[in-house]
Amino acid sequence: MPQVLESIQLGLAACCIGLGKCCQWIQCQKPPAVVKEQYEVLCLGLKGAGKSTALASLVGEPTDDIEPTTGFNIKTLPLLDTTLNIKELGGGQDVRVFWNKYFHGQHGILFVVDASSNEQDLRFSKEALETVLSDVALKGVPCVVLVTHLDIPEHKTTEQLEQLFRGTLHGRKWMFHPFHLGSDEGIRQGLETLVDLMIRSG
Amino acid sequence: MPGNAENILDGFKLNWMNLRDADTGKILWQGTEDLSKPDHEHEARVPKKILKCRAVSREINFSSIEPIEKFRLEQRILFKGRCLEEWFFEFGFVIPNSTNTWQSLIEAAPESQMMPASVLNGNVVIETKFFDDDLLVSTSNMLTSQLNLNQPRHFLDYLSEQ
Repeated sequence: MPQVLESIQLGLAACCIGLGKCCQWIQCQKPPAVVKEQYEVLCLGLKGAGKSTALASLVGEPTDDIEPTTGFNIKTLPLLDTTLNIKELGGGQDVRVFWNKYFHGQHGILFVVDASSNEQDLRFSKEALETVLSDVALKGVPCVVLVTHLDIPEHKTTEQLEQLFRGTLHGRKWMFHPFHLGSDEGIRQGLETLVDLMIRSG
Repeated sequence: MPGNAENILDGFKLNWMNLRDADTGKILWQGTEDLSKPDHEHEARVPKKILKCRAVSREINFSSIEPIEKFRLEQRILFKGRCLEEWFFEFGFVIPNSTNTWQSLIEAAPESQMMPASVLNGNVVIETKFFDDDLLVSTSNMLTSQLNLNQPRHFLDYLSEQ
């Protein structure tokens, strides 16, 4: 009897070792998350949403005298363990017609929404986002929505905007972040989240 | 020269360049004259304290009347004609009748790698070339000299140039 027990014990031990080896092998097959040296981010949103203001806050520059963007503003800077190349495009109608010239090769989108917009402007903003995200070049690309103008008395909450926009964001990783004027915290955290989503999107 | 290339050249303007202390956002140097004039070597008087900055932000601003398909930049730091560093940047498409900026934050090289200011003084040229694919759109050469803020005369000269 003890011999049988011993055999069973040996057998079980062998199985455990075997299973352990199997698990190790499976873990090895899973590729570790690769962080690219540089990520291309496109910053979009309607005119006046606050794109230039948020990015000026990020680099500690004054935000009181910002003119509407008539082309692009690019910021190349280190963030976490990588470098971001953030291309902000003007949101006016005459610039929006050229947005699709910049879709190719982007890893992430930062879409800026003015929470104090009226219903019509919010609809335009949602339509603009839909047009952008339906482009095949941006399929699966993660998106962080930066919510601005939360200091204006009449504004939608971040949660209400999530409800309004969530249908547009399917097929990709996404997140909403509030931005408050006077601090770079919102834009910094929003971009750190985007880096995380871009790494996880491969 | 094909008509289009000439239009691009005529319609392009490099408006300004600046250097900022990236930590404070404060401008250390700004050049506002028309920097596109190809035969003119512009002089940049850069404060010595820039060497103490942890990180420096470099910004350029340019306008184009014409659309440009494959806009790119090549920038070289030349010391006595020898290339110390070079940067390449691809902008891609430039929208017609647009004004655009590119700002890049560079973290300072460790002190041991930086040449002393006195050696660099007057010997460093920043050469900036803009291309549409292979077409050279603009060249700008900037001769930099370190501004010694302890010398009152230089400081007044610096002020009078602004």
